[in-house]
Amino acid sequence: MKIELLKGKKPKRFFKSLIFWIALVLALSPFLFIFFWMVLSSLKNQFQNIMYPPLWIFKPTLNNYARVLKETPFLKYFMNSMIIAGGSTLIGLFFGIPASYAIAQFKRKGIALLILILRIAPGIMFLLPCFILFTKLGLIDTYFALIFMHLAISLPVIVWLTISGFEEIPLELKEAAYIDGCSRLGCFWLLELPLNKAYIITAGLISFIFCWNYFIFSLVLSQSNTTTLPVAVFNFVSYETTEWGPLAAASILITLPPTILMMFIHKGFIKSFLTAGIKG
Amino acid sequence: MKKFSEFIDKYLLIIFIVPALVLSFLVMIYPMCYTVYLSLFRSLLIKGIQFKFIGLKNYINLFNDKTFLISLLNTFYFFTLSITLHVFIGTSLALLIGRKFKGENLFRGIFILPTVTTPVAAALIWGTMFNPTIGVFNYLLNLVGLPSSLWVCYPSTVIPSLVLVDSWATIPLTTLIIMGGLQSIPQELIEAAKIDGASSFKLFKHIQLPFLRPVIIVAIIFQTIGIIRVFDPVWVITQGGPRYSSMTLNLLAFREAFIFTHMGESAVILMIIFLIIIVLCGILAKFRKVV
Repeated sequence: MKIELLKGKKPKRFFKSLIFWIALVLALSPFLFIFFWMVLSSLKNQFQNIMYPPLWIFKPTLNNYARVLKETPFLKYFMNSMIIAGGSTLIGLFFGIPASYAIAQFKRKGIALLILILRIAPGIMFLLPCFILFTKLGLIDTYFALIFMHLAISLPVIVWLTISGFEEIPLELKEAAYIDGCSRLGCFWLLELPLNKAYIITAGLISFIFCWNYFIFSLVLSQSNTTTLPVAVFNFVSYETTEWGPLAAASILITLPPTILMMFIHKGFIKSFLTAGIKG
Repeated sequence: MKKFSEFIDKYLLIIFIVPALVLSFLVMIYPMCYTVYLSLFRSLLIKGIQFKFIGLKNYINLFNDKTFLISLLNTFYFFTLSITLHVFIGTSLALLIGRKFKGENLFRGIFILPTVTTPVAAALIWGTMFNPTIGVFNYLLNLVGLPSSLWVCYPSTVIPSLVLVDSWATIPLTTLIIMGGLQSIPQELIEAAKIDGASSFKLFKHIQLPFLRPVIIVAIIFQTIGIIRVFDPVWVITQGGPRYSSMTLNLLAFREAFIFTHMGESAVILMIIFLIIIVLCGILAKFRKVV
């Protein structure tokens, strides 16, 4: 019966789905156009970049990438970003996971809410006092200061994204473990952590991406030693006569790690935001 | 040994939660309190930074400061434009992408890429595209027969242009949140309406929209928090200019603190930002329960 119905509507359905796909492409093209232009500019030389009307077809060159990698200490900036984003994410995981387990286990949503409200404050609010403190202690331009500061981003993200994982673990499973003589700590370590691996990895990677992208903290707290990639590329613009090619190449290189990580976790990422509206 | 593990189990909540609380105290709560304290002082640049207690003077001075008032207005302009754009585009996109189709996961994965793009990098590219003489946006405008625009170089177009930059990165999130609301609508309801012959528009107005309203408000709250604190695109593209036409509160706070070393003034502005966000979110949250 159902099949017959569908058969009768076939030409109309095809037409409808064609319209749908056209609408989809039209709706998404503005979002993708920026990336497209980024890549295009990075493959043009300076002369081609300032031509008007803009060139669409040309002989691509990788020269811009070579220049960024050779003429700037790009690798050093990259490592700085790695250390700072990675460090604060690892510390955030170390402190955040037990906390989020405890919040789920003992139903202390209030504490989670407190952390969330803190997160609403503008970043400069945390930065300003820490800047004065670090200046007095001579800690400006150290990894310690930057990792510490970025905890204001990683910790709330990690706590919030892992709570629901711990809540989802069926009570029977835990009770079975307790009856078998497993302590709570043992249950956490042997049962709940492994079961929540996916959640924890997703939260860690999202935290890493957020720290990697965060600009203000590094803009203020880092100087020549600990310059992160966003600050480096920003300085690149301010102090040199702007060349669009290397600029676009550097932008792509910076954006590459978060984008690649996103490929792996987009399902978890989407899921956590799909439920954000319903739960919140 | 047994006793030890019993002890741990008994106090597990405290053992697990206290370190995180101490850490958030150090990184967030203490700095926030210190900011409140700082707002009562004037910072002087004598042998490093010195502080002089001046009571509430910073607060009074601020409201006589023209730049502050301009920034306040600009921030609200940002907020209104951005929220309007988010509600309309976010909802339409959610209705479009929320359907089931071949390769939906891949599509959504690509769609949210702007969200994780490094904002500074994206803003730099937008900046080059906005260029009034050789930028690609003006080329595209001319292509469809529209006149060129000065984009970020002209006072009345700079904020709408910057809202575009911010929305490009944040609308995918709004769309996802609204999409979550769409998926939570019981399928039977929609089926029933379709059998009764409801048109797509009626379906949207009478069934989907009432369900979506609370979710849209959550999405607006998310975006409110983001847009009141907006910094990266503005600082990278215009630094508040031309003149003060794109100066927002967050930018002003940054400028006062780290360029002019007026820590006290900056602290007051930061507290006002925090207050605005909390009040706006409070109103929105109320709205959600009533409607």
